[in-house]
Amino acid sequence: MTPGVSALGIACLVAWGGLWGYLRMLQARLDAIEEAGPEPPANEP
Amino acid sequence: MGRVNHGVRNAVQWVLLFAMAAVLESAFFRVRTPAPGGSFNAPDATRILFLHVPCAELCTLGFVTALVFGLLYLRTRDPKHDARSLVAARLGLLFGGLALLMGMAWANVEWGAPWNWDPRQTGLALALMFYAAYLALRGAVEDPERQGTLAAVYAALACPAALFFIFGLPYYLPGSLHLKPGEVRLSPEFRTTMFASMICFVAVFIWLHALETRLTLLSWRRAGRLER
Repeated sequence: MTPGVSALGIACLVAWGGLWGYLRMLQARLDAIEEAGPEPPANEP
Repeated sequence: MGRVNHGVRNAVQWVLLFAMAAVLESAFFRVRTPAPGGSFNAPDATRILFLHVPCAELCTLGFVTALVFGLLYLRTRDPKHDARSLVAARLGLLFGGLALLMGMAWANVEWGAPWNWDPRQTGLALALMFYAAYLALRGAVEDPERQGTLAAVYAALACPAALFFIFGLPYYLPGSLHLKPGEVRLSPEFRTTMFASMICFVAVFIWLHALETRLTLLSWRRAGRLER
């Protein structure tokens, strides 16, 4: 196994951890918005 | 969504975190690559296939999902199906683009050049152009109902064409650099890791699709496009 492959493997693991954390955060924010109820449309006065 | 469903969802997501990490650890640090001089010229580069093949799988899944929800929209006229179809097409395009880029990196090492006019490589590029045109079509029509109808009909025509260019044509055309099933010998651990990777990627696709659909519906509601 070359150092390049090891570096790519570590980069993939870090990227996956980052993506997983981001998706969890996004999901929590969407849950909070949906639980708060509907807002008026942006184009309404 | 109730608390029980939230609990199940959390558990599945934690399992996915560790399952995908195990797949990546196996793919890059554990699996023994095929022997040099066998089916592959650059055995160590075969590790990228653990990402390239699942991305190509998700590209196909995205296009088929866009077709299914497009047909459901035509049948029910429910804008949620239109949103699901749109999101699936976007994800298909995203993962198809990733599959193409990783394929080019692989081709550069294995076949000597990133672009070889290989039938499957060219077919995938054509399929991605169909779906880039799908997004352009949606952007060009303002009326939501007309946009949804046109997009659904387009998806119903584009999906079989894309599948033909990605899978059908390369199978019959001579000179494909892609190995056909049976032409390549892989170790059981290589196959197992590939299979696990494909399952984990499908789970990621389902998660991404659900989240992006919720985001799309939220933006449509805020724009007054959708009833509360």
